[in-house]
Amino acid sequence: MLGFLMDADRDALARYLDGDEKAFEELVVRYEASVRRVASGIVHDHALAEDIAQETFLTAYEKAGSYRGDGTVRSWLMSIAVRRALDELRRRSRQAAIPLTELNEPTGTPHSPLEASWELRRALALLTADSRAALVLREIEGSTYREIADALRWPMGTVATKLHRARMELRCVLAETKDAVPKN
Amino acid sequence: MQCLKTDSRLSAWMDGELEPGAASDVAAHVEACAECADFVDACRSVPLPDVEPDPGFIVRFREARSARTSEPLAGYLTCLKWKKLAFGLVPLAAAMLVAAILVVSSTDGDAIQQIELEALGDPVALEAGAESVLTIAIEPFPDELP
Ligand SMILES: [Zn+2]
Repeated sequence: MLGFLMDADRDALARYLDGDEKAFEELVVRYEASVRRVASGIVHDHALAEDIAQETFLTAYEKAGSYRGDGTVRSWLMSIAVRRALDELRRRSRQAAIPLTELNEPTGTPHSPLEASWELRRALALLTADSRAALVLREIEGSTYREIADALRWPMGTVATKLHRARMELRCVLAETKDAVPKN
Repeated sequence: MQCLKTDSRLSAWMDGELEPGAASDVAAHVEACAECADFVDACRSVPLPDVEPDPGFIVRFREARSARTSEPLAGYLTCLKWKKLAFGLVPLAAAMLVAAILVVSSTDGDAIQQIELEALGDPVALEAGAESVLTIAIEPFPDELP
């Protein structure tokens, strides 16, 4: 199935480069949710994630010729999205952490799935943007270490170390927030 | 084996990025170590936020794309199409050049001179087809050079 998708992706890109505009839209439909998920996991803002996703596809649309074909089309798109998201955070000078006040408090009952997700967002927000990006790529998108290294321009050997540190941090923060139900 | 709780090999193992030999060492440790097993369970049960597919996304993409491509210096693809068009014209240009060379080489010097004289004197006397070599015929001849 994955192999089929990879071939289908390359085929769509090749047809687009051959002048078939509609072929590019196949990639947009196939990967828009993934790209928004990754962007959202990094910037923690749905509206901003939508903008980043749109910019990601526009960049890919305009620079399709820059796809070198040594990775999958999907990981090429993800790396554009990750860089866009990190650039956006840098531009807003809030690379280290998203202010917790910017995260909306949930309205669900305590310990509802919604709240668990909110606690997680709080916890993720305390990680560095790079670590968040790596975790999101790995946990949500199932990216390989090679893909993460390419997307974040990290040396391949540092991916495991950074991911493990991020997981340890995430676990600490989640353990702390478990005891205290947040009140603003 | 020392506890792997703070060792990146534990993550690499969870992510299936270890070589088979190293992977079975880590697996054996996790089986025997409650702390590492806890860590692995916690990492695997983290409910990361999900995003549903949005049918409106493609519509907004089309709008953004048309807005972008109507700007001056519109995108790479436009450029690519021009390049393609330009490359498409190469064989045609080459064919025209070859045809011009053939016409010139099949026309002897006297004929060229004659056409030139006729063109200067009596344009009506120009024969059919002479026009195509007229520009070549009006080049200065060697005996007119200083
Ligand atoms: Zn252990």
